[in-house]
Amino acid sequence: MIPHRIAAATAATIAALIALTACSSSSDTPSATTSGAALSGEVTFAGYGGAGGDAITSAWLDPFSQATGVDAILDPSMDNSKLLQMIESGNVTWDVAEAGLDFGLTEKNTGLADIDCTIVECDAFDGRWPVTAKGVPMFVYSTVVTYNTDTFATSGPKNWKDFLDTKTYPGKRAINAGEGFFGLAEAVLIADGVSRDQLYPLDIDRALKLLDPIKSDLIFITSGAECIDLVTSGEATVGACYNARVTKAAAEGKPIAMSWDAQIQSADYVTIPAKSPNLANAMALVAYITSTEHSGDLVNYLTYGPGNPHAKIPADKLADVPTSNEGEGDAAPIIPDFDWWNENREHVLETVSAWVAS
Amino acid sequence: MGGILTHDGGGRRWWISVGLLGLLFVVLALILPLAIVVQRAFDSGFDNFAAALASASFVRSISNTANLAVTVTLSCAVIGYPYAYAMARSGPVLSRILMIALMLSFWTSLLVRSYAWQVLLNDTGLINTLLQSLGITDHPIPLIRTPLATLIGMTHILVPFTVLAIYAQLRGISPDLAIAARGLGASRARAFWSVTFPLSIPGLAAGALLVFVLTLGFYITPQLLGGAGNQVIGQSIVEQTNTLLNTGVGSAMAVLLLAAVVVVLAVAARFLGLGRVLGIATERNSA
Repeated sequence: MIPHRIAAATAATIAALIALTACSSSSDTPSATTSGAALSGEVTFAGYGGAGGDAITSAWLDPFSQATGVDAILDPSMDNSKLLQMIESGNVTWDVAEAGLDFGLTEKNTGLADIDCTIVECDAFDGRWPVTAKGVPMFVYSTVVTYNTDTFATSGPKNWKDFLDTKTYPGKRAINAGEGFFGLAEAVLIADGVSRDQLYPLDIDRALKLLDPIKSDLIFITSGAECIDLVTSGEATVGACYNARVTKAAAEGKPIAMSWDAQIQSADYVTIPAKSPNLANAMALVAYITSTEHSGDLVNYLTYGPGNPHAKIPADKLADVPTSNEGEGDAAPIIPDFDWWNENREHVLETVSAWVAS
Repeated sequence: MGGILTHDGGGRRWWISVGLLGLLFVVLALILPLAIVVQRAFDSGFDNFAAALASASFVRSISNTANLAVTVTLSCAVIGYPYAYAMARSGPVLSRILMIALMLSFWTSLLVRSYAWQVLLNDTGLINTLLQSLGITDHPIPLIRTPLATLIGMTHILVPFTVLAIYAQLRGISPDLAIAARGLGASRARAFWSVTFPLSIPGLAAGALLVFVLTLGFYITPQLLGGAGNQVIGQSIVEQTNTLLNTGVGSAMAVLLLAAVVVVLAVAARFLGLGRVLGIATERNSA
């Protein structure tokens, strides 16, 4: 019914739009293949904003821009579904993304670029957090037993056994329920006597039974910031918070402290979408961030451990960094098995959410 | 329908060119992405729908969302109606003050308002601190992370929609009708319930419908104020797409949500008329 002229105009407009997007994604590819040549242009780093985004900008993006002349820009709107969407649609605007092993940084993930070990120092990653086919460890963080120092002064809870003990350490506990008690399930099972080499397959039902007696004392949080807010305000007296946030809040004079015993350790990785519009710049930025020389630079702004195990850390920060404060025996770090979690996450989330709702 | 196109005497071609930009925008910004979501949902037949409905947490979120939509709609109606009535019938000064207060709240970002409620409802927040200092309670009463908190926050955010819909309707009802009823011996209450209120029901229904449908898709406010045990459909979708990376299942959930909205609108259209449901015939019918 629409007159032909208007239909034609509409078709032409749509065709032009398609042509435009096609051009913009193809015009940049030649530069991606010329590795080794001087870099120019820009590179977009997709991260999470907040204190972490500021720290990454100061520690790595700005210095990288100065060293290479490439404009490194932070886009603080990273989330897994957005990254996945970009990769699946082929309309990629991010060059480097901050992601966890839960994103699947293996060979199988064909939407991500292979890490180029002629540019990235792959051999340096001989520690706990390896380079994968598609990702390089950016920083190591841990979830630690955290407490309010107005409530417990210096005799606060030291480990996950204490975390479960609401008689000796009364008060509410702030914990993240959104990830199916990832890491925390391991922690309470170990506290209950499960030996570390027999943790998997994880007995989620047993972990939930251990949490049952303190269920009414649990506050389920959805963000790292909430953990700090609840513990510093005293609304919760104990929490399972991220280490660098605790250190930061304590430095601001807030009544909060933590214990390194049995820290639940994890790592964030940097990865590159295969269709990154600035592939060469992206690989160079990944190499810079994870280099032995620069991997430790983040510590000056946010006290997460360097992803590169050979990186140097300033002496005055040693006491605050997870990788420099690993205990032994019962106090040794707890390292969740990502392969198991990636296989079983759906089932665990269902089980945990049913428990939370009951 | 052809008559509407030439309503003001302009030709059909004229009206199409006037509407073209908007139409293009709707197609590119709404229909196209929606088509992708629908296609994703069906990318393996009905498997994604089966998986969605097999998820007990999704089924729970449906009933949580339905509960929330009903309670938010009721509380918006109960709070919104008297407000709209006062706005429509009081003197010019009070009426203007009520309108300004409503619009100030309406224009404030819902993110800001949700956070503000967080501050008020916290265990160490304003309300609990006040109750404790007055000696009404010695322990903070649980407000934040409860269904009540979500209900309060959502009602605050959505009540302007109800008020404006009812207000528009009441403004179209001549105050003379109630005066005539009173002149014939009806009490003030009788005049209201027998004359004004029945005439205002279409506005009330339209406002309630709007709030009900908007509540079905809400995410931020339940996320900030509700507890982890009261997940709503929006949160289920985010969990699928963001945590589990199941775009197909997440899309199926979104399609089911959309279908629910369409069903609600269709049922409402039967009782209220399609034009009123879509919000285009309010003025004409009430005049």
